Amino acid sequence: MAQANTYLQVTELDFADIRSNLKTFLRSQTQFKDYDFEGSAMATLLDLMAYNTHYNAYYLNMIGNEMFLDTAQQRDSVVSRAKELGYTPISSRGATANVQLTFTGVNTDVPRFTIPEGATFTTTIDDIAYTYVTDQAYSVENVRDTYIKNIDITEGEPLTHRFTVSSNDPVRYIIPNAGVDTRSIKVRVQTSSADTSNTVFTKATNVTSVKSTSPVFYLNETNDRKYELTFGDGVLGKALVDGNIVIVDYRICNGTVTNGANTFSVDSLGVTEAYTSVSLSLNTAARGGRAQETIDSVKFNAPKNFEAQNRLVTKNDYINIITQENSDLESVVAFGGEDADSPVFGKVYIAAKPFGERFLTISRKNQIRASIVDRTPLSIDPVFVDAEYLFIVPTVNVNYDLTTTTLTQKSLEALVKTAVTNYSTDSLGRFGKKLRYSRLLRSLDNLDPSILNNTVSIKMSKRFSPSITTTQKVALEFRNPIEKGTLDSTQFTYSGFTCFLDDDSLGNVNIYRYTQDKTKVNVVVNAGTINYVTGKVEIENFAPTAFTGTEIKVDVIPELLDVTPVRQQILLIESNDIVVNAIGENV
Amino acid sequence: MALSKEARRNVEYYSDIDLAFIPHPVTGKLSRKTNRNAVRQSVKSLVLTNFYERPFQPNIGCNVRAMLFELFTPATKQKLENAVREVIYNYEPRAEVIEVIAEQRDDLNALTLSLAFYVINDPEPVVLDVILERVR
Repeated sequence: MAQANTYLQVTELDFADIRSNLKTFLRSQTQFKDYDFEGSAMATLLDLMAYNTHYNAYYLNMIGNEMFLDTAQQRDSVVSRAKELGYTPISSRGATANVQLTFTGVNTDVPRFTIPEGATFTTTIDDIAYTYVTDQAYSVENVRDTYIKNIDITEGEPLTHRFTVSSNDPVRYIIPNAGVDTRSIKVRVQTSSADTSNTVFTKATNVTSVKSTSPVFYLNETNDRKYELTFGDGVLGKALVDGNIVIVDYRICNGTVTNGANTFSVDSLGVTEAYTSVSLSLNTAARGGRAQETIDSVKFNAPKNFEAQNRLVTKNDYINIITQENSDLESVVAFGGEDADSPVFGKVYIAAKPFGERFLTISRKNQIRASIVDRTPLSIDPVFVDAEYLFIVPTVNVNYDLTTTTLTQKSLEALVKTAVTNYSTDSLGRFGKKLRYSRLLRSLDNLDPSILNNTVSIKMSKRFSPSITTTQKVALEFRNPIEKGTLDSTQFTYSGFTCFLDDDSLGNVNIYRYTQDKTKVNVVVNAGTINYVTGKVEIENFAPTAFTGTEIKVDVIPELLDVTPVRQQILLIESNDIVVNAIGENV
Repeated sequence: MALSKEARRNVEYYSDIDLAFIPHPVTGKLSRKTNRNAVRQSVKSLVLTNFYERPFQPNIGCNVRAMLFELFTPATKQKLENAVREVIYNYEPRAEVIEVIAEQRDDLNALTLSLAFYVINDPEPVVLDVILERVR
């Protein structure tokens, strides 16, 4: 037979190469010569051997791929590799809306009553009804004989599953549904079928704080996008005993499907107090619904999560972890207290902008803070601050060629206005996003072939709503250098006159009015100061008695054409502020 | 020095495994087919192989089984004979076909294929009869 193994090449993996190598090997013997003829029995055997080798090689290659996070293709493999890095992929999440409930016909002797957890609401999208529930109980207080409460409701169908613990017939505690919102998982362990007393088990988030008697469960994604609960072994968490009944309450949700839902009806509140009727009004449309984390996202996030070790140390840790864990946030920024205007050591400031809103509610800020506070270094206090909005007011002059377009002047102006709004949506509106002047101009130049050129002058604008009953100090932070003598404001009533603000180019802010012959007269000289370098405007003892609209707008012209947001600042262009003049030319 | 007829007959030009896989009655080793018999086995194997039966080599075979479900007309007969000629021409360079005859065997509910061919460098023709019939 074979002379030596040197005739056998084993490096190729393709069928044809393997077959060719086997033929080479057979050339070293003389007993069977027909391997070159396709009809021979030898050729048929070679086919089978090469196929088998190729099959095994392919299979081993796939196994090799699935063994590493970078190359794994199957979700189960990716999740399993991520588990080794201590990472649990984010589950589907139901969208959350905020609604106001107003109860009528409640006995006014009742000081308060409770809307229980699990009260259900309904919204309908494309003729499909979706269930929303309260994920906590709310207390409705009697406030001057009215009963009004703002509550969060979250999309998802509440379900319960029970497992009986048995060492003889062990079960895996796998929640048998896809689309589980893991935030909603609540676990109780009933002592036995005869003894209905139960213990609430909580999700273990930090294994170092788990004791042998801690009633905790661990949560992992398992096969087929389902979630599995595991319990302690008596060392790392309280162990279950035979006969215990594990009761799991959870919701299955529809992810992003109900994002934007804004019409809800009360289904079943479960309020025990008698009332005649309840009306519902919307505060915030549903948002924050998301699908289960994708394979690519798990591959991206798991190693980073491992690097951060679920600890918040650098500012990027704060940004990444808060963004990742809170799907309702569009943008997050964090900075150390030492970088604040007045340095404060030992604090980390965090600001977040939710989708579709400008500010987080206090309760939401508290929720997020509570979710991270035990992951920060001991001496660091995380503090949530509101996002600061700096409005950009552009005036756009566009010259266009009348001979190359059928657009009317109004249509072209509308087109430009939309383009500026889109620029704001795409390039501004998030922390750290600068206004890059040349890019704005370029986007307008490229908008339509008929546009010949454009010029844009921009102002920075701050808005505030002062008290009209008490004097106060107003501080406006533009945080960008200001051109001298450019401060301006909308009108307000001061000392009985219709007044405005301006600056004297020397660093002072004045309150002035116009006389009947249109002459400017100062009402209050040196009412405040303006720092042209830092962009800070302060007005002392400001006491207007009325103002137009809901706020006073203070505009300045920036010294630089590019405007940079600092720390918690966000730049925005509001469509109402955009002024467009289109000038037609016959070229 | 030229080999005698007897000596030529004992030279092994071709050698293959016997597809019957019957051990040699004396040595217990795997039986072999040599020369004319090896080519004969190869031709039979090719005729009975269908397309897509061999892994990664879908074109080897002549698909005669597919024709068993056709009415046995002169056209089918010609097609069958051509298919056999073609597979031998393409995949068995050692055989030179003399004749292929397909016949209907009503008594057996079968078709017979009679092949006559020369093995290259061998003046004696080889005759092979293959019966095609239902397997179940």
